[in-house]
Amino acid sequence: MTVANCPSCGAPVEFAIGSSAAVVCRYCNSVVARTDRDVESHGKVAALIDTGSPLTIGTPGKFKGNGFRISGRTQMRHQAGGVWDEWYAAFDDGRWGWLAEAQGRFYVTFRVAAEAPPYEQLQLNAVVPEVDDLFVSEIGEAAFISAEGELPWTPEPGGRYRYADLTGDAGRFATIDYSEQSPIVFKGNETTLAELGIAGEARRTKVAAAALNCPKCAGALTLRAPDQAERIWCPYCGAGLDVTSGKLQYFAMLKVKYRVEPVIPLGSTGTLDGDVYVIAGFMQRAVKFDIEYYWTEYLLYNAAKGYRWLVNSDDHWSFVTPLRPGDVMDPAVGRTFATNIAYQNQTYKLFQEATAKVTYVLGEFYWRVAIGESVDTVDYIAPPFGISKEMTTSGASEVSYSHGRYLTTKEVGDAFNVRDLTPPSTIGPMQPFTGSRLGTSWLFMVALLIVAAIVIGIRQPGRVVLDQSIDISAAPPAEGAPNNTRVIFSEAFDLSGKANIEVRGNASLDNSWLYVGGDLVDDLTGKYESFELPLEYFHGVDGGERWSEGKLSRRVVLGRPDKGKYALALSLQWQEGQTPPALHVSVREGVFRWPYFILAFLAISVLPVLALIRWFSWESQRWADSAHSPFGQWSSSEDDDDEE
Amino acid sequence: MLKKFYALFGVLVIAAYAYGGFTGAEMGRSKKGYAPPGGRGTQGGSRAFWYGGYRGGK
Repeated sequence: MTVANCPSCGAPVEFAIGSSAAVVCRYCNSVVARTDRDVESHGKVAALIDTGSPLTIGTPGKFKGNGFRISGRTQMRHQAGGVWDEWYAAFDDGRWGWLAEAQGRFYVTFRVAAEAPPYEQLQLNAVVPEVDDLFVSEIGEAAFISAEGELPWTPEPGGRYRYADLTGDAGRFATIDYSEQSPIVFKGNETTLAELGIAGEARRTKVAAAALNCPKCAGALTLRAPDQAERIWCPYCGAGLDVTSGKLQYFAMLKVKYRVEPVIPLGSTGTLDGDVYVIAGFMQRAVKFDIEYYWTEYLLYNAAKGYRWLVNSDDHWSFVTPLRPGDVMDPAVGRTFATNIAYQNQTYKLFQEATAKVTYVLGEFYWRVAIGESVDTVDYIAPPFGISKEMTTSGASEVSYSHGRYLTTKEVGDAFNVRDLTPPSTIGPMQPFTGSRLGTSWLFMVALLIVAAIVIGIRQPGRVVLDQSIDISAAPPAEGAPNNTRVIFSEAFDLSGKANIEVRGNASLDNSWLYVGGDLVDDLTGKYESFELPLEYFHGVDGGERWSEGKLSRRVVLGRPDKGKYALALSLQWQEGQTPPALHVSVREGVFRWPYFILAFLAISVLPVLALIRWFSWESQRWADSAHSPFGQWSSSEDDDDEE
Repeated sequence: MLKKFYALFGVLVIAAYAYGGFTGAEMGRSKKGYAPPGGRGTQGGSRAFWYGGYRGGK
């Protein structure tokens, strides 16, 4: 341990760790840095802001088997106004670890010898090959505001530091520090207090809920998450109050032309996914296409889970959870957007991209939200889920992702005990299709039908039992019958009585006809079944064009007859005055019936087709407001007409 | 619900198709009958019914 005197106030300052660079004097808040020979003051830092962190100087812990003790911290202010702590852990093996804490998440990193791209070349969402292919999730500038304890570097009070945060899958994390001439890379992981061996006691509150009153209207304000709130918009008078300095500070009045009432009151509690959330904040946002589209968002808070959102758009509700950027497979680089992204092996399709603007705000928030704040949003859907990508348009360049799950009006009403929620009248982007598509069932049925048809086809013998040319002119006419008629019996044939039969007749006709009235006759019993084969063929030239009509050949299928010996009784009549044509008849036992197969196919396809039409209609409505609809380009026909 | 109904309906349709295919049944009605018993006792058996003037066909 090295003890020196503070150059500013003369109080003793202790360098307990051999590799520390500076100590903050606990008496005068001077940053006392070591030099080769002595110590020097780098100016005084402001008083620490109580962030309610569960960590303190001297907290011991263990990370991946290595013990450490927290020796100091710096406080940095984000461009968006929030404050975060960076704690410095002196490890037993001589290394320094950086423990960053922001919005309840902890990140442990270690300085590594790695190259890094210049700050100016950084692009949001771009992969950085030099740092394990992590991608850039935030590019910004932090202001150093305060510090305490023993530090591995010498901060300059009032200094501003450029940085980039990189993320990857499985909680991989890195920061590139651009405060020095050569960028410094810190690599590590998102972690938890439990993983760090630090007892996970609840965060301390920095503002007592009971003592709060709006400094503008004296209205009673009940803070839902007093340890994390950065800004409150008074629900009574619309005063904007900052919380980050440890007390409520008025800074502006809400400037709106109208009041938006949340349909679920601020402070309401509800249970979603088994966790009880309280509605801490409420805001309305809008995007502008041809007109402005508005929706509302409720900021939910649960001490263990953190913040969530309940989004209400056109009476469609969704429960939204923030995602780690590294867990989303998004190929887009910079401010561009991809047509598909993936999360947990599910593909999400691009639905809409726009710039969303805050148009109304009430209650408390964990960032310094204000009317007019805008972000570029890209919405992706995989009903009943959706992912929203948001990129800041001012201040630090930051990309964030959140995962939404569709909730029915009943689910929301039951969760928050609200009974008068308006049901939606449209199809929402994330609303799941409520019908059945029957596609898989239909495929199964078709397969079953084909198998049945194959078995039936195999069983059909297709046996020719009669194949006979009939010389009509050789037969005498029946007594008293016209001369152009005959009754002729075919040769006898045997039928097994196991299958249907096909009777086929064809005649050599030329501008003539032959009517065959037939009976399949059981020679033994006299039982008969009638059929007819009207044959005709006419042709000619009319107006220079050839024409023809009629059929020289016809077939008829009769149902399975009983087993027995049969013959065809053929009652023939042909065009009077002409010679009888040559007739050929055949009988085949066991023929495959395609019409019945087609009929069965159509029968099992009707419902799936109707279901498909309903699904198509549903999806068309879902994508109606999207510029990226797979059902056709979204456009305004009126605009097109105007252009013409 | 629709899936269950469709499964039942589909199975019934295919069962009906298979039954018709295996038994050689035909849809629709054709004219059926017996040659008069008297005719069957004459020379030529039931064929006399047709030679006697009956005209076949529907």
